[in-house]
Amino acid sequence: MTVFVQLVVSALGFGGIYALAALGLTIIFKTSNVVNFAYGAMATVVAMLVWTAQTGLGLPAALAWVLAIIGGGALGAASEIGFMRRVQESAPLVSIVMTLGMLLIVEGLTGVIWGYGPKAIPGIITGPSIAIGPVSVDRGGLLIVGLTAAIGLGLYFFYERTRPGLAVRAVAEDAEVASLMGISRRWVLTLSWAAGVAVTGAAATLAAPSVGLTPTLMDNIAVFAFAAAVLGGLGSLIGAVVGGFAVGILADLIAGYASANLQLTLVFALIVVVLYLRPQGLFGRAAQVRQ
Amino acid sequence: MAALLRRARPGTMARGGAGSPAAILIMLAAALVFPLLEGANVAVMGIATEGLTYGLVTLALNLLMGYGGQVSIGHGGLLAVGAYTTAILATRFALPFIVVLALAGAVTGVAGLLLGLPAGRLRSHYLAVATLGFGVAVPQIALNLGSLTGGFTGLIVPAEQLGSITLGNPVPLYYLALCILVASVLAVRSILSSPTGRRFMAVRDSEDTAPAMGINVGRTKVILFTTSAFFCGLAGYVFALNNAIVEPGSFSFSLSLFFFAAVIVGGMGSVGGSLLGAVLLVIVQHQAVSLGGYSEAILGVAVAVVLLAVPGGLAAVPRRLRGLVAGARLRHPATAGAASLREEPPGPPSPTGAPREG
Amino acid sequence: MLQIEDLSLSFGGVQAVDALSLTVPDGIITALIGPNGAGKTSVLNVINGFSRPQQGRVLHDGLDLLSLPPYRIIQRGITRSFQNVALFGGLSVIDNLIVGFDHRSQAGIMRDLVRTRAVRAHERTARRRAQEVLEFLGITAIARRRADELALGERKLVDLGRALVPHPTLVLLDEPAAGLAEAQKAWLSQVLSRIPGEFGAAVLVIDHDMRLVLGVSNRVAVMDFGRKIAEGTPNEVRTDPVVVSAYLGGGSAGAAHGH
Repeated sequence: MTVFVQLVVSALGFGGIYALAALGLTIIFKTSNVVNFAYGAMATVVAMLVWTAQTGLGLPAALAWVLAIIGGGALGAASEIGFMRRVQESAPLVSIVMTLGMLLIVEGLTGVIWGYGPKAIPGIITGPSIAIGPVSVDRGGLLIVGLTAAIGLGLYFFYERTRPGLAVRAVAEDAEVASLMGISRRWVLTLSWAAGVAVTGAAATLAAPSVGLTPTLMDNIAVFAFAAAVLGGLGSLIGAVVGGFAVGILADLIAGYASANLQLTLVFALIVVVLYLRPQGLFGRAAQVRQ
Repeated sequence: MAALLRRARPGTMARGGAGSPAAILIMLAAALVFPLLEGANVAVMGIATEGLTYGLVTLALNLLMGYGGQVSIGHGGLLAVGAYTTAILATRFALPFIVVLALAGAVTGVAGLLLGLPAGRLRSHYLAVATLGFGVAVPQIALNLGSLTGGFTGLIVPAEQLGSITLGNPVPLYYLALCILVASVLAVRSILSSPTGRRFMAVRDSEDTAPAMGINVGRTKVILFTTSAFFCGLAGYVFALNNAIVEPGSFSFSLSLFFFAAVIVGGMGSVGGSLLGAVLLVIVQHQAVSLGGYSEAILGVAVAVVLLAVPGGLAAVPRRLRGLVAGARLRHPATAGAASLREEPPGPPSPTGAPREG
Repeated sequence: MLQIEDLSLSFGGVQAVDALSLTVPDGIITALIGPNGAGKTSVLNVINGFSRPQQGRVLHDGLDLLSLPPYRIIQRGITRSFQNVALFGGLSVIDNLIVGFDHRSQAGIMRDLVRTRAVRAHERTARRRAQEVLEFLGITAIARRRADELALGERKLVDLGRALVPHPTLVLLDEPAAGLAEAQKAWLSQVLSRIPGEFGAAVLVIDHDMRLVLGVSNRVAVMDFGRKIAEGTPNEVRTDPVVVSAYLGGGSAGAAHGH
């Protein structure tokens, strides 16, 4: 039993990362109805920017973070303005293809600019694990969970309780009415992309110390976070968070009781089953299944 | 979206463009003659055969996406199923090569069927993610079934004999792959101009109204996935023999992504286009040494360019060039009159009901 | 003969069809008219299998159509055109027509691939049949054009052609005249009135163009708020006070007169 609890607890760190990455994906999907397949690669850029700022330029950690997050936001905004905006009115397939095209570009250029070798990036919190009863809790993991909870709640509050948040949701639901109310759809889309990349970028930077900072940093994480977002239902913030932690815990349990190599397979098998029974995911709206 | 699908009509040869009889004959002749020039160069033959393999995959993927209207970023997984089936059969049993080939196709077809069953209920984004998961899961499963698949190190594929010819050798393998590709292209064209093919395209164009025409949409999609997977299985056979080793590392998500890009850039909904995309892919991949990391970015830019500026991809380039030329001629006073006579003005039939003659 | 019994359909809180009973006799043109939102398209959707009603039966020669999946309806000889046309854009005009005939070939992909004798015979028959319908409609000139390149008038005719190719016994037409110019509507009237004679099929047509619809049909049923409020010959219905008040009283009824 202790083993089980320990597995669950140690999974929270990565669960939080998946949840955070899935939140970034969801922010973009909520307004533009597009799954940004390039989000992992874009997030890696943020992590690389942190490294450049800290190690290359010698800036203090906090400043490096802020600059990198802003850089990520700029990247997201540029993607929307330069590419996605032009295919906004086309069929979903076209948007998917466009994000995959961006994936190739961003991933390719990341390798060229920063090289393929792993880079050293210091973790945010160091120190021994905390013991709670028979279970040991990793400090870094606690930070991640805390951060995820904070961002998740912040986003929830923003979308549900503030006027700008309401405006954003209005654009997603009915762009015509929103523009009649004077809300610019273009701005909302650009900002959503900026925020989405920034949030996923945070996840990448948090993951970098343990996974290793290479251009392929987010490859595995992106796939798990996809699974999390789809499981929770695309466009649902709660779904992203619940899905993220669920996938993280599930993956850890599989690694603990079966084999680490089966994680992806079993997680996706579960996703396929869930989608078969409930095509819109756990918390998604049925309407979103239509094209 | 329709612009993305500009293509030759199946069953009728397009005039000009990558699908024209002249272009196909030229490509075929070049392919046949090629080994006579480069046969001694093992590395080059290997790359050429890889190009043929990719051609089979892009053919299969184009059938699924361009003609069937579905999405897959996991076709690398299907290639893996075909390759592993080939390797497992070849290492354990002494079977005639044609049997191994057929089984590679059949087993992969079954995998496609299993993928198509849930996939039929999913649309666009969800479908893309599901296929992504499939593409990533297959190599992982292979990694885990070590006793069957050789795990991390994979399986070595023994060369097959056909009489006195060793199929594993570069030149015979190249010709075998070429035969398989040509047969597959003919098969796909045959399917496309038949009721099955029309059902694929009807589901692609108007899934909601297709049932009114008697089309069982779910069943059509499953057949589509199964068929596409079958051709991937054949590609897997060639892949296994060409590489002589089958290991999980060869089938990453990047590979599926590259296939996807190749189909888009070559031109969706055009058989000739998919082959062009495969050629492009092979060139880009093997120039990666000189291009460095830029090869990936170049492919990405090509995708963006196709989406924004050149719908129809490479296959549409000849037609567009002709269009540019025709446009220039139209503007020239001497030829403008003749050209406008050739255009049929669209419009309603005359009020008396007499049919319009074109 | 099609018999709708006590049909009720509601969705999203709206009662689209309310205890409707209607008979569509063989071999003649029946029109279904009514103000916007009266539920006419919903009736077609139920017959077609696109919508499932909460209550009621749709009997076609004794069989309840509601027991069939949508893709089997065409096998009963019931076909349809669509308000938003919805052609198969990537296919040529003639291929669009042939698709409707394809349900007769259950050969499956393996036989399609090798082109057995049966498959080749099917292709020939289908193509000949499609050509016949193209001639009937007067649009043979556009046979090889891509469907999504056509103008609206042509697309409407192709949509109609699609419904005529499968040797139908009942053709459901949803706003075939919507968006057409006067000359086109005149041609459409001619075509419609010849359908029962040339194809031996009954027609159930919905449209807002009163002149066209009343000029072409043999029987008319009038709907309002999901219910049938009148039924009879065009002249009877035209002068029925209940019908007149429904049109004058209803919201967008003004648009229902003429075009």
